Amino acid sequence: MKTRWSVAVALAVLSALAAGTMAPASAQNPLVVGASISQTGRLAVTAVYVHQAYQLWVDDVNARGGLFGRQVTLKVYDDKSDPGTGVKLYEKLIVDDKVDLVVGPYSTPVTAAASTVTEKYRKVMVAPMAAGDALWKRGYRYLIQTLTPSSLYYIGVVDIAVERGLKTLALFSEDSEALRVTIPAVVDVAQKKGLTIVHNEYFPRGTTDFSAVLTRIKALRADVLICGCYEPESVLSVRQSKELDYSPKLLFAGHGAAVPEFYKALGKDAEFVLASDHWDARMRTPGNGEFVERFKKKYGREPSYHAAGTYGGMQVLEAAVRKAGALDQDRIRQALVELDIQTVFGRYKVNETGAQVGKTAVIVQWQGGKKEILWPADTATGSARLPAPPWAERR
Amino acid sequence: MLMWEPVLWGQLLINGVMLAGLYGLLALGLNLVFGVMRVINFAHGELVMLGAFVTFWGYTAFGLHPLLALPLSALALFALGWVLQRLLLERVLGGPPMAGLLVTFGLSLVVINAGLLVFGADIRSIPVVTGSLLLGGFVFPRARGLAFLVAVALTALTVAFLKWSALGRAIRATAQHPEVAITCGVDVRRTRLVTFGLGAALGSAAGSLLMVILPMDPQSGSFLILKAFAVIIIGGLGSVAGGLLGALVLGVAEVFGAFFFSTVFGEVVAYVLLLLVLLVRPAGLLGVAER
Repeated sequence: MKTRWSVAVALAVLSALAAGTMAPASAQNPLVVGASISQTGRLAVTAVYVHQAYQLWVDDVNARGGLFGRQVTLKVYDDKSDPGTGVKLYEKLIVDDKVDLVVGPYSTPVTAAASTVTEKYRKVMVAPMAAGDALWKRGYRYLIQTLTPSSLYYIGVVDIAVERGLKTLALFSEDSEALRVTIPAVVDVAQKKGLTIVHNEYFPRGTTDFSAVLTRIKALRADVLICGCYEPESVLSVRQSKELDYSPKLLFAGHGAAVPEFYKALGKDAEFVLASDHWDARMRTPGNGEFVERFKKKYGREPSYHAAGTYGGMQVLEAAVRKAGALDQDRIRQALVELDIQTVFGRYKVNETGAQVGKTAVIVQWQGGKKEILWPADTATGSARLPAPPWAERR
Repeated sequence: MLMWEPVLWGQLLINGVMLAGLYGLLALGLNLVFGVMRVINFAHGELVMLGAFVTFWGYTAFGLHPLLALPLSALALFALGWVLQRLLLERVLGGPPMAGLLVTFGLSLVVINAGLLVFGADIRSIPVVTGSLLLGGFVFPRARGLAFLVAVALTALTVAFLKWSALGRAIRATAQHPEVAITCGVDVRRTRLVTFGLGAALGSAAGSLLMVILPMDPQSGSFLILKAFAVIIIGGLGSVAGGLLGALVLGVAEVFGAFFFSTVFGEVVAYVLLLLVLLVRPAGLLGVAER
């Protein structure tokens, strides 16, 4: 009696084991994608978008049947917005957790630090939220950029200025690593297209007064003013232009001018101001509309460019993994260098160092309290209202 | 030649004076607190920031004009200053000078991070009093002009208050010699509470006006206050009138430096000036050397 029972149990166990080996994908080991995200600290508010986009991609890829028939899961640790912690966490993800793929954290500094680890272990890292061009000048092999490269941030402004027959250009920009790449690229293109540069200077971060430089630029009567600015200086440059009664025909106030806070801080004075943005929900990139809808449905808010950029980065990684046909890191790396595709975020194309060269920014203008896309032309939602009327004639 | 246009020079002078108004406001409360208690208040920038945010809240919640919100924010910050002095700074009084500095430094960190937690890192500003007045070919920025006038008025009021009012005399007595002040019947402890409260209120006034001049976030205060330190060193530590003079010197020098060279050079001018004053007249322009 007893033996018969044990035989039955043994048979049951064996059949269960056999079933396991033939089971569908879901019963296999999941394919783990690891990352550190700033869940606390000064980057935490924005980094939520990155985390949410990763999770949305995981849902989507699993709905498509996973990768190589395996379900994909996300493993995330909190780097506390600290590059040093990021280093430790990527070490842990690779060495202890033995994750199958790693993807980038939020922000350039954390990526810069974490990539030292991924490079050491020869792990490919698609870094969706790293901007600094310097990261790709270190001779690293496994780090891949998907964000807009600094050199292509402002290029569109020149096209718009030339199209409107504007002749002279003045620039003043924050002395940041990224803008030290952006501005020379703009100057170069502007000169090639026949614009005259009447003034070009940099200011230190935290400058509270632009009256001197604006007095000078006003006296030089520049048609186009480009302020290479982040949020506070974007607001300040427009406010002081008005204070000094300087009315450039085209006023471009940088990345900082694309955020809603810019319009809130300036009210109607923000009208006619141009800004640059990495991405816009209305861009006609493949799958963009559906991405925005799914994101809103899942998280109850509009995706930011951080979310779109991260999701786009994951689309790139997915395409590369499928192209490589395996989790072999060198084959994935090769595929990433060869790919030239469109994601929700825009074009993806990197050079041999892994630095993005295909993605441009969009140039927008504040019109009636809303941002209209002016450039690139194939995704425009409105036409440029230029020249901007002089301050005295407004309202 | 652009550089030598007299109209431009006039405009630059106006710009410099306007900037000075801003610096003067920032330095006023800092200077008062240092003058009386010999405490370098590292949290003054945060008090400015809090005043700015109270004003912003008044504007968004009740549509209160920043000029009307100014006295209310100042009152709120006066109370906060009083409480901070009572609970924190009184405890380290008489200890090593470093103690007061460390307490205010710690306080600054706490306030910045609490601010980030409560308000978030977004920039805020109130879009009123924009643009400028055009007078005889010169432009006078409205918001900065207003800040300058308020800076002059508050400086004058503070000087008059210290000179002629009973409480002002008690504050000066406490500053000069606390022990003698006690023997003369001055409630020294209460005087210190009032002084720190006033310092905070003056900081708040600066914050209210900054809200219409510069975009502010919880970290702005600590940035802005660096210039205020330069101002009070140039003007004379503890000298209220000297603070305004220091602001004028710094503001005008910065704007001219920025115009003739570059914006970066404007900052250089500020700190070269600071070094020169320290070398030539270490007590500052209107300061009195201590024995």
